[in-house]
Amino acid sequence: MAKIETADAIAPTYFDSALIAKFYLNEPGREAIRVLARNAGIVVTSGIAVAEISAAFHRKFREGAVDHDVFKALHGQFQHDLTNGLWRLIGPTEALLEQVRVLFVRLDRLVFLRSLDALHLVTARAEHFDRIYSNDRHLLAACAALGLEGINPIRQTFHKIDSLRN
Amino acid sequence: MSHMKEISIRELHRRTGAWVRDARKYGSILIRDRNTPVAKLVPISGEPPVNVFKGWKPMKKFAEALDRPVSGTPVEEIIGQDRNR
Repeated sequence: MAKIETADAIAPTYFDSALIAKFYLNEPGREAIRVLARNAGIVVTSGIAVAEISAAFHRKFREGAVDHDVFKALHGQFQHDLTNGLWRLIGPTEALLEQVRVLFVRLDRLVFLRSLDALHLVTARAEHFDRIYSNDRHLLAACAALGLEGINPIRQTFHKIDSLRN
Repeated sequence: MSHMKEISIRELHRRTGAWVRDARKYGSILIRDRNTPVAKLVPISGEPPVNVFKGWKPMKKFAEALDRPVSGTPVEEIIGQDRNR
């Protein structure tokens, strides 16, 4: 991609749900996601991400990986950011769901594609993105079936750090 | 000094969607066929988009809690398992 030439340049970017969840959780890779979001300026995702992220936060709470304070903080911050339009949510609309249906009708029988991966991919394509950022191997593997490029920004960052060390 | 962003037809063809979105960012993009300028990609005018992440910080009342390292199953695995069900 061409180098951005101005300080305030915007390059809207599509994130899979896990990257948005990682933006909030202090896990390895969080900083890379925050930098990517800052560089993008606008992050687009499917509205289904709200359900997926809320469920993921709850599973962290259920498993005892986060205490009640952190759980409350995660939801408080996420709700605040949703209200203020930090994440640009698209659908799912009836038209997108129909595109998912058609996708599965036409999909090669050898391609492994889960329903919510399909919804993300169809949403990204409908919004005219030609690449999607995710760190889910199944979603990344399925990108090519829709003519999208799948990029794992966390693996890229770690690869870069490893290169600098060697 | 600023100058117009220039790309080749081949590059436009390769990533059309991205360049159309980027037209607003660059103001306009000049398309070249080999070295000859042949077209210009100009955005429809409107409010320039705002970088909503610039200056983003967790709210004061949550900042400390969100800074604690989180253990357990990585979130991408949680969401992956959720999609597998």
